[in-house]
Amino acid sequence: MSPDTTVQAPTATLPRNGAAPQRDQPLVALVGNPNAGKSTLFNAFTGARQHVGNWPGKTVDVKTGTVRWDGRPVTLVDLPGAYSLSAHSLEEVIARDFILEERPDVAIVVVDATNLERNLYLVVQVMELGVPVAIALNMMDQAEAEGTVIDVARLSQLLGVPVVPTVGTRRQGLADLLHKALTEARPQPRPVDYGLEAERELARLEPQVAALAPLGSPRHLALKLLEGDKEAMRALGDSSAADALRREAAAAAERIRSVYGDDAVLLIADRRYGYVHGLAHQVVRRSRGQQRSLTDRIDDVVASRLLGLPIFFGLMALVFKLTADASAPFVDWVDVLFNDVLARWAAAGLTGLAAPSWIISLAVDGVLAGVGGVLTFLPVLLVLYFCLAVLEDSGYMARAAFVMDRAMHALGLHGKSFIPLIVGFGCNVPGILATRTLEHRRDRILTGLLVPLMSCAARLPVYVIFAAAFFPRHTTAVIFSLYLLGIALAVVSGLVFQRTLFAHQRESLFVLELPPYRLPTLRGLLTHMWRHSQEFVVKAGTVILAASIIVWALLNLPVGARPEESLFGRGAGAVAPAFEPLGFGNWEATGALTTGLVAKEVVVSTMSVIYVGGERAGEPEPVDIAGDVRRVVLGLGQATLDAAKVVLSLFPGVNLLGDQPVEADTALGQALQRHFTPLSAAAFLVFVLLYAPCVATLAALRAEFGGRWAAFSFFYLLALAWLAGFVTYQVGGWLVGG
Amino acid sequence: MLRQLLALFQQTPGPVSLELLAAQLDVDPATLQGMLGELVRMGRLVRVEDHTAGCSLCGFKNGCPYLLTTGGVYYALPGSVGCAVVPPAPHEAP
Repeated sequence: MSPDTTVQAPTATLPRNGAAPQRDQPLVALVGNPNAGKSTLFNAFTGARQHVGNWPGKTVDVKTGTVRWDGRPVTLVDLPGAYSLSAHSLEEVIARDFILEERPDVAIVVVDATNLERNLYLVVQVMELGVPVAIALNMMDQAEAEGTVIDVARLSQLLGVPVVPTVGTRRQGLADLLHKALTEARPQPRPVDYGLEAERELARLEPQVAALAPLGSPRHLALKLLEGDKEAMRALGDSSAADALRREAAAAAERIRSVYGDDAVLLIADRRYGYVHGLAHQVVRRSRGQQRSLTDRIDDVVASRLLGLPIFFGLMALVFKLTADASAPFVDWVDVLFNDVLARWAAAGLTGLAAPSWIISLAVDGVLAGVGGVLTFLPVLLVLYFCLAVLEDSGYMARAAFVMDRAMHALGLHGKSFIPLIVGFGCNVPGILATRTLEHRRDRILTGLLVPLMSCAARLPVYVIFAAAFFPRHTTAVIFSLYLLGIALAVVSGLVFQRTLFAHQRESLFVLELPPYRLPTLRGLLTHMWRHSQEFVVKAGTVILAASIIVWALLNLPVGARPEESLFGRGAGAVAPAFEPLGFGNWEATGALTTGLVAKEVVVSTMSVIYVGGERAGEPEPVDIAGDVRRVVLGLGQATLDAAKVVLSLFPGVNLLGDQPVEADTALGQALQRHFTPLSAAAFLVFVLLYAPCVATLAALRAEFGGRWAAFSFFYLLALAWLAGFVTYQVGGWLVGG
Repeated sequence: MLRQLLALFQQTPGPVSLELLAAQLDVDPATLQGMLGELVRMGRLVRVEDHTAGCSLCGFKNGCPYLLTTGGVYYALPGSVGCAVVPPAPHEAP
C-alpha cells in the first residue's frame, strides 16, 4: 500500500442519484466520532493527495483522496464526524446518506480506543446500514498508556467484522487495515437484538420495506420507521403501498409503546447502548494500576460529601480574610487621595476660580465625598474578585456550586436553584434573570424571592467600613458571618415558603459537567478582576454620582438650614423612630438606608456626604502640590509593602505584622465611630444585609414574576431585616449587659 | 441503559456530577456523555450551558461579571421521564 502519485479523486460534489453507483475503483468510506482520529488516518492514507469539497447543498466538508492497494487505486472518502446516525445533525445526515446512497465497498469505522464503549454505539449503527464494515481501533498507543487492554480478536469475533489496531499519527496498522477492510469485511446488518416485541415487529416490516425499497438495508429502514424517522417515512415514496407501510409502522410503534411503556425510539437506542455496554465489558480490561486523572483525585477530596462543605467554607473564609486584610492599606491610601488630597485641591482650585461657595460644597462635600467614599472600596472588590477569579479559573467554583447545592438540597431547597443563588452573590439582578432556567413557575418565584438574601457585592463596602471601624480584630469573621447569615435565612425562608406559599414540587436529578482543574494564568486573573470591578467603577460614575448630588442638594435645602432641618434630614427623621429599637434611630442612618434602595453602595456614599462632607465646612486648607504628590506616591508604596506583609503573614509561622490589627482607617470610619456603638453597628449591618432589594432588583422581580411578587419581596425582606436587626440589638444588648 | 438513566432522573433528586453518575452506572464518563447527548437529541433532556440566558437586556451580556463558569447541566424536560419505572438492566452480553 502506498499513496497514489497520480490523484484521481472523485469530484468534490458527490453524486446523489439514488441508484447503486457503478464504479471503476473500490470506494472506502471513513466514518467515526469527532476526535476519534479519523482525519489523521485519512491524511496518513492519502498524504497530500486529497481534495476538499462540499456535500451538495451543504456547507460541511467532505474530503476525498486516493490510495493504492494491491496495485489498484482505491477512493477514500472522509465523512464528517458523528456520534450516531440518528440524523439529528447535518454531519449525521451526510454520513448516513453517503453510505446509503453511495453504498461504499466498505465503511471503515474509526474508533477511539480510549473511549471504546461510546464509539461502539456508532459502529453498530453503521453495521445496520448493511454495508461491509471494518473497525480501525485507533489511538491504541494512548489506550495502552492509560492501562486499557482491548481483546481485539474477541471484539472482532463478537461483532463479526475485521478489527485492526492503528496509531494514525505514526501510520501504524494502515496497510493491514486497508487489506482486511477490502478482503475480509462482510455486511453484518443484525448486530443488536432489540427484544422479542421489537424483533417481531421488525420481522413484519422488513419484507415490506425490501419490496418497496430494494436498495440499502431493509432492517435499517424498518428500524427508522419504528423510530418515526420523518426522512425514512418520506423515502418510501407516495404509493398506496408506501402509505400502508407507514400506517403499519406507526401501529407497530404504538404496540411497542404499549408493551414497554415508552417510545420505540428510546427502546431501540436503549438496546443499542445495552449491547455496546455488554460488548465493552467483554473486551476491555483496565489494569489495576491505571492512573486516575488529577481532576478525579482532587474531586475525591474537594467534592466529597464529608469534606466538601468544610473545604468550601474554609476557602471562603480565607478569601474574605485576604480581601479585608490585603485591601486595607490600599483603602487607606484611596481614602487619603479622595478625602484629603483631591478634596483640598478641588476646594483650593475652585476658590482660586472665584466659584460660589455652593459650587465648592457640591464638588467637595457632595461629589468627592460621595463618589470618593464609594471608590475608596475599589481595592476591596479588586482583591475579592482576584481571589474569586483564582477559584473560578482553577475550576473550583463549579465544584463549590455542586457542594453547596447538595447542602441546599439536603435542607429542602430546590436543587436547581443553585445557579441563580450563586450568581446572586455577584449581583441579584442576573441572579433573578437566571431563574428562567427553572422549568416550573413556582420554582422560579421561590428562587427569585431567595436571591436577594444572597449578599451581593454592592453590600460589601458597607460591611468593610463598619467592620473595620467597630470590629477591627474580627473584620473577616464579621463579613463572613454576614454572608452565612444571608444563606441561613435563605434556607429558613425557603423552607417556610415551601410549606406555606408553594406546594412542594418533587424535584428530579440533574447532571453537571464539571470542568477539569487547570492552573489559572495571571492575564486571565487580571482580566477577570477588571471585568468584575468595571461595573463598580461605572456605577460610581453614574448612579452613585447622581445619588450623591441629590443627597447633597436635599441636605442643603432650604438654603442655610442645619442638616437635620434640611429636606433630607426631616424626611429621614420622620421614619427614624421606627429604627430606635434597632439602635440606629437617627436621621443619618435611616437616610442612608433610604437612598441605599437606589443601589446598596449608595448607603456608603450617602454617609460619606453626611458625615465626611459635613465635617469639612470652613475655609479651604492650603495646598502643597509637590508635597501631596510625594505623599500619594510614597503612600502607594507603603500600602503595597503593607499588603505584601499581610499576604506573607497568612503563611503558617510568618508574622510580619506584630500585634497590630489590620484595618482600614478611613475618614468615614472615624466619623461612624462617633455616631454608632458596636452593637448598633452590628444591627445596622444585619439590616443592610437583609432589607429591601435595590430598585434594579425590584424591577427584575416585577418583570419576571409580576408586581405582586415584587411587592411581597420588598415588604417581606423589610420585615425580616427589621426583625433580625431588632434581635441583634436587643439580644446583643442583653448579652453584653448580662 | 437509557431507560435506566431516565428512571434515575425521575427517582433521584438533586445534582450529580457526570463522573459520579458514570461510576454509579458503571460506564465511562464519555459514554455517559454520549447517552445524555442522545437523550437530548431525542428531546427527553435539555442541556443548558448559558445559565444567564435571560440576561439579553443586560448591558454586560458579552462580558458578564457574574457568570458562573460551569460546564453544561442536563435537566429532564417536564413530562419527559414520566414513563415506566425501569429496574436496572442486567449487563447484556452480545
